[in-house]
Amino acid sequence: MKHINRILLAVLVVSISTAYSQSNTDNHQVSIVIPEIAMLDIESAGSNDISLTMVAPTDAGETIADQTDNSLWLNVTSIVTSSGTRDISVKLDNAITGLDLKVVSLDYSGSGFGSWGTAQSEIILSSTDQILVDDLRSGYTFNGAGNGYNLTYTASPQADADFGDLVANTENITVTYTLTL
Amino acid sequence: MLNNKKISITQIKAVFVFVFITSLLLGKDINHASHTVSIIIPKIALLDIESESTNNITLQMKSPAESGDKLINATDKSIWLNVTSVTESGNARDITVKLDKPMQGIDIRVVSNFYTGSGYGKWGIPQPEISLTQHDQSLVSNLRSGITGDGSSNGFNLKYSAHSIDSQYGNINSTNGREIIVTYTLTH
Repeated sequence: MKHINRILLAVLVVSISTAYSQSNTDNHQVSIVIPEIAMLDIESAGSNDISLTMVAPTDAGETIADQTDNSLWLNVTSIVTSSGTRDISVKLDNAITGLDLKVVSLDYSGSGFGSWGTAQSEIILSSTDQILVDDLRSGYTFNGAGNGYNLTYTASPQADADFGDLVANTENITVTYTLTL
Repeated sequence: MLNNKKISITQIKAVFVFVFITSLLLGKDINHASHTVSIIIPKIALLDIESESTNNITLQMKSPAESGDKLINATDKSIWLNVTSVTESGNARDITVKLDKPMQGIDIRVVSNFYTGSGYGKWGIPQPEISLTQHDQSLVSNLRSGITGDGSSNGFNLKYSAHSIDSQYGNINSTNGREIIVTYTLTH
């Protein structure tokens, strides 16, 4: 009988403590999910397709002068993992014999926010990816020309024997930029 | 025998007169009585979190459609606060809120609607949207006594949102679910 009384007492205590477990405070869990993002596009005030028109020198015997264009910008939205960094790499589809197509980026400028990495030295484009900007982390450049990485292209006749293979023509080259994952 | 009867009636009259005079002397109405009833009303402050399903919510930020744009904010309106409150005379309460650990680059905000539901009381005023920190901030101020009704759709409906912080954007990292504990308190 004493044993049964003890059990009943224990049940009563548990019941009372459950009934009074409500209090003036409560909490819950909020999970924040942030996707990994790697987005890049090319922007300009006009067309993204540019022309570099080489011009004959004024004096016979001189080389063809370099031509430049700085109308293009790269816009980026990036979210990296906790250990990740990214590069922007660049390559072309077909090189022109006798002519170098070069590109260099300025450091980031614009209305966005983030960790923008470091623009590398001027690259002579080839069909293999090379690093234009390295060590980016998370950021958004803001959208449109005037935001992000301003590119300067230079077309420059090669100063070696390959100049002999240069032919008058219109060559369409596709240049591809990639924000690495 | 007749004498005895006369005496008996006289005695009855005497008793009646005695009782009448005694009651007048004591100043009491014999058909009324009174006593004291003490009403004890406890001070009560109970609060819990309710929703249609789980109280654990997820704020899923999303990629923008356009390169160069920022993360898209996430929102949730599924959580309600139920309250039973009895205050002391002249006192008012707040509902306060805080989180356990902030998240770098992300601003987690909460704001309450005005009270709605099947309850009764004096519900106070929701404050402007709060950016949550580890310190208690007032979500609703100047509550007094009331019962919200139990369950979701009764009480204070919360709107959570997650926003990227421009000045810390470079430190944002992707995550499949960083867990944060948010605590609500009905102050005493």
